[in-house]
Amino acid sequence: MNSRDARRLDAAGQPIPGLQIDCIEVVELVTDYLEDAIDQATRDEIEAHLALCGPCQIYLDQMRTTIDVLGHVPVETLTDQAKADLVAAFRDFRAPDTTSG
Amino acid sequence: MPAEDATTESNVLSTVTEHVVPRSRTPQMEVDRSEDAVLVARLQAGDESAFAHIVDAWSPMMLRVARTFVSTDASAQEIVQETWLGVVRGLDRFEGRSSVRTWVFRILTNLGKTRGVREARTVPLSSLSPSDTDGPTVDPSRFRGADDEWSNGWTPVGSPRAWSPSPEDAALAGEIRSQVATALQDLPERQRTVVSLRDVHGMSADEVCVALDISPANQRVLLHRGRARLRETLEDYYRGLTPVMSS
Repeated sequence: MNSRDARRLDAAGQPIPGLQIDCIEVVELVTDYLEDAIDQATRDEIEAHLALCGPCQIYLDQMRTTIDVLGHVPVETLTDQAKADLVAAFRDFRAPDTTSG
Repeated sequence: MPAEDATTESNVLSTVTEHVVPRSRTPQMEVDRSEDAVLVARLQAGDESAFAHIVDAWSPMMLRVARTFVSTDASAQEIVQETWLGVVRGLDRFEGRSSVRTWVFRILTNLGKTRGVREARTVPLSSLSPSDTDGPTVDPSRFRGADDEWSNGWTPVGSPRAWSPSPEDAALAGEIRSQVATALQDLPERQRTVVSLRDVHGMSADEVCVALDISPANQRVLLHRGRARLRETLEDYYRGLTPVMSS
């Protein structure tokens, strides 16, 4: 076992949660994590890692912030005239038939 | 009930019931079927405000989906208008086996496909291009090398720094939105489409997979790469704000 693997284990030789995954892997799993598209063991490991690793926590926060900013980007929609025409079409088509009977 | 019905009916967000434009990233909620039934009943009874509400709430994301089938904004507008007219005409036959929103999007994608074939636009979204899968999303030089005891961890220089002031800060918010909007336009088309539908328009992952005919795994790859690129854009922006320190 090399030193890199050794630092992943505690004094009793047991894996230390959060050190079984590297930062370079965490950044590629962020979306799967946010989408809940990972198994529970991986989720637990990522959360243990985040608790130990400030920079990865910042990275995750910044992805969330980016998503939040995207939610405020202006969007295109139909013109007011087009919407009014659609509502008029709805009214004409749905109008109760009061002309007959 | 057939399995596919259960799947399609699980796609609805709470947009109508909450009377908000669906741009908050509400986690994909269980369909409140009774709320959807109320919407159907109001529409079938001729409730104009209910119709106007869903036209307002859903048209922006419908335009974005329509734009994947055709090459001009004008054609996309026509598809969305045709879709709503189809909704008006089809309401009486709608039996509520899917949610209203799922039904509307099905009409939209059918019209879009027909129109797209007519306009001979051939940009398949279903497969990933090299730019969508190549390499890591974070510069590998920001991580420690193989010889380091903490290999593959952030280097001191490479570590992300907290953003301050926050992007919601009134002095920055406008500029930050504009930076992100520009960077979004610069993303490769597939990433741009998925990030727009998910994060700008608030569609669910399931809805995006159906609308674009892509697998859940590909949807996540495109979302991940697009978001990572936009995070980097903001990081660059903040780096420019910070007074230059010794580097």
